[in-house]
Amino acid sequence: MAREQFQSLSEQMYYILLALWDVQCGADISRRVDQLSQGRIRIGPGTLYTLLGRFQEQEMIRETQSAGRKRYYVITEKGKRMMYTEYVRLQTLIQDGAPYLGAEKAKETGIKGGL
Amino acid sequence: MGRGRKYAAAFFQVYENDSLRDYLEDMALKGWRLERVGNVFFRFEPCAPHRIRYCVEVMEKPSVYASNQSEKLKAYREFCRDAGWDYAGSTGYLHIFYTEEDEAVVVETDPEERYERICQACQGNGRLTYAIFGLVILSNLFSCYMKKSFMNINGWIVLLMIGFMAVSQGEFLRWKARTGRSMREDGVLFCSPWQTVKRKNYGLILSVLVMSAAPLIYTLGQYSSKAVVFVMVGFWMIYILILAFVFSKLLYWLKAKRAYSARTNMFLYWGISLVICIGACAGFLAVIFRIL
Repeated sequence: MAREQFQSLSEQMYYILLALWDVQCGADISRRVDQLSQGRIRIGPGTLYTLLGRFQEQEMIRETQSAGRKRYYVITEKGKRMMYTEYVRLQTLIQDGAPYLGAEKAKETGIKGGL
Repeated sequence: MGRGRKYAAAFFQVYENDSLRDYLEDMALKGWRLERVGNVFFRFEPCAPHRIRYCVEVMEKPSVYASNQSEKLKAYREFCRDAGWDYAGSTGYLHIFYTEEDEAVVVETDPEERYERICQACQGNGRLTYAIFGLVILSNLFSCYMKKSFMNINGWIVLLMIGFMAVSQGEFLRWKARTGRSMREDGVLFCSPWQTVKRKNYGLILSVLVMSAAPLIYTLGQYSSKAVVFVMVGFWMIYILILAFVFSKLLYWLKAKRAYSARTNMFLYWGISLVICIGACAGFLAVIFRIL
């Protein structure tokens, strides 16, 4: 599900969909997101539940199986296309910003954490 | 140990959910664990003082008519349990989770989503409150019109009710403005200290009680001596509190049991509400006739 205003995914949405490239169940998704983002993004169970519901409505993910209380999900082709669109958008932002925010420029201006 | 249970009033507005969280966590540090969430009171049991983390989230209000909890709520709670958060209970739109694990991630990590839910829930609550207050204000304005004067008990009641609504709505708008600023600066929702919130809400509840008792006291004052008036009013208010207690027990029982169909629950809920209203009016009339 993209933000309608900006047609982009939030960080939490992005990492959840990335985690669902492989089949995962609820609690494992949070751990996988934590791993992928190297601890930077932490998703609460309530937020995860809400976003999974919306992704399912938008057919960006699908349920593969349910074992008792646990439900397993995986990203769909539609979800992958939206992720790829988002990936290209982010790359475009980086390329456009490189002349101003690239590593050399960061050194010149004294800004830390340049690309 | 020798410490029994403790009861505390559950007077927190929907947008004061984080203040409620801080209150519950402070109670745990003082040696009181939340045992039960009622409609009007929280019940605490004694425990060794230690850190218990709470999350108070705004979600759909469980219906007293539903014979079962909604599947969505059940699934949400299961998700949270898998992540280490147990469910303590709900009061209105506020659902309370707790954990003793320091590493558990908070239940909702999207502040914008939380903000939207709070605003929607406040709108839901506001409509009913304003409808009831609107009816009472209109009836009192009509009385003022018939008496051709605003300077009487009905006029004062109108002013008090308008004042109450202005304060309630003003508090919510103030929270919205402060939250807008704190979201921009820190990415979190604004949260007042729970002590301030409790004092403010107790003040509002007291004003409602005064507004409710004022017309009765004024009317009775026309007919009898002051001492008799206050004694009879005191008895009547105790009687109302007992009825309210019985009603809240019924609500809790209906929510907890969920043993009957939605239609039966609805019949029980409205049937007993009607009996309680008739009982309250009968008590009021008995007081009037006793005075006369």
